[in-house]
Amino acid sequence: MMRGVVVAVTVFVCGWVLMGLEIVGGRMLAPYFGSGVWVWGSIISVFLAALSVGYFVGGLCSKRYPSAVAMAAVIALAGITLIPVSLRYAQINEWIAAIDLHERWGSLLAAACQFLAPSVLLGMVSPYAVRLVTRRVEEAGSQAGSLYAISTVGSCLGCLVTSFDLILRFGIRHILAYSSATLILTAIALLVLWSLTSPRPEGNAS
Amino acid sequence: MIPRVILVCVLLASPAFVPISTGQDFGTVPVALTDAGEKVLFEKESLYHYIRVTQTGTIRRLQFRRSGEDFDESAVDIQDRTKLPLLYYRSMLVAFAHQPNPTSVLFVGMGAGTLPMAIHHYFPAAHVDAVELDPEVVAAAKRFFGLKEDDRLKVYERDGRVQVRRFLAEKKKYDVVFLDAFRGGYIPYQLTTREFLEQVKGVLLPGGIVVSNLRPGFASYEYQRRTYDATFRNHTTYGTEGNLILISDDCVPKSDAARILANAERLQKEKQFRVDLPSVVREGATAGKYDTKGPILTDDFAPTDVLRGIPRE
Repeated sequence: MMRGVVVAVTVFVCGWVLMGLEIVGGRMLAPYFGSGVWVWGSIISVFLAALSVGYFVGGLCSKRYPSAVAMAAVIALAGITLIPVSLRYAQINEWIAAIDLHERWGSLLAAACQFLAPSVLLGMVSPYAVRLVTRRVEEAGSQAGSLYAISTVGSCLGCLVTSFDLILRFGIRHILAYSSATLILTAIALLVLWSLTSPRPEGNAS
Repeated sequence: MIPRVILVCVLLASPAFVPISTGQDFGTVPVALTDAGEKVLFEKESLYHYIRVTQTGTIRRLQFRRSGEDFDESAVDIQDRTKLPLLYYRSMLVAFAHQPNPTSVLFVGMGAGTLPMAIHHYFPAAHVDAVELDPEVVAAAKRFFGLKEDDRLKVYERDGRVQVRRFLAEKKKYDVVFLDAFRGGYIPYQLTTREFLEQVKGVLLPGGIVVSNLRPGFASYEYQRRTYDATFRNHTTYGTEGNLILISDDCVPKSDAARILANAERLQKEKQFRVDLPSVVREGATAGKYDTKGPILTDDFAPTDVLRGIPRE
């Protein structure tokens, strides 16, 4: 039971951070590639491509290394990939803008450089979470369903709160740094709480 | 995982479906008379705006709709193009009292091209470059407002920030840069930040000036003024109602008021503007007070689109 809650909170936080990043992404690219539709198109397609890869790879990994330690490592790594982005995104975009591609390809390349790694890793979290909480095949669908719902509620709130409030309150750099720190702390909390709680006895369906 | 997919759908659906759903050819609509005697000549949803071209009497307007309101972006008197019907055009012309012999002029945000065409007309020695994001706006300017490109007037269809970066790389320089990019009532955020103003400064010739069209009614106004203060040495404002025109430069010493007025008088005699330039200079600005202490806008922190919805008081 407790472990279920721990995993649910983890996917909620990861969903939140992912969509927050996507919102901030538009702001990060606009000064270098403008605010043409292709900037949003690039960002959204990079996130979707990354998630497809993340879901697939996450599923494979969860089969091979089905442990909370592995899942925490993936989340921590996502946080770590955001550190260079939060410190150096202006320079990264500056370099890519200097290549002088069309804004379309420039914004796609920039979005890929900055968001591909963290969003592949965050995409891996959901299949991992399903693997960790599912004990019996009959409950696989309902577990997957509720985890996806919780993760998407996180995404929805991350999207709203970032665009309605955080951008007004902090700046891009701080939002990126907080996102990175949140992921690393979440990974640590997951490890600690997982080892403190005991697994659900097999056969106890709810 | 679903919201991202919806975002993509919304993004793809809006422009593409308009001609299909209305069953009309590229958005041209039959001339419709509204109760104010306003004729609608053209309506189209572009990638960036809901564009309308309307005509009342001899005044033709380009409007962008936002939140149910049609904002006038440009207007022209089709019987006399030198009349400049929008109030802020008067104040924009004051730029030339500061810089009476322009050789190269840049517009960031062209709209229907009324001012670029007026400058092309009044200053035969000046080359005018105009940057406009929306290709549909450029097309409407050519079709309804008589915009013509030639060897002294060139239009760049690109985001203002991206094009200024290019000019900077190409080492193109201007005497006068007009910052007049609006998207139905607000200024896109990447065109408000200190980093952008530094780039604009980089495309100025020695003695060059930046002329900005600002709206004191919006909460972002004070942030913008502080950002200009942080970037440029000298600031002069014009406009007695509505928009406020801010002229910024780094000239040492600051051009004095007497010389600006003398320039305005000489130009008025020479060019016969339809507005009296010396009186615009004399009137100066009566509004637009702001708190000089507070945050400025940067690429990192520029909540302009959040602020725009908040009235100042």
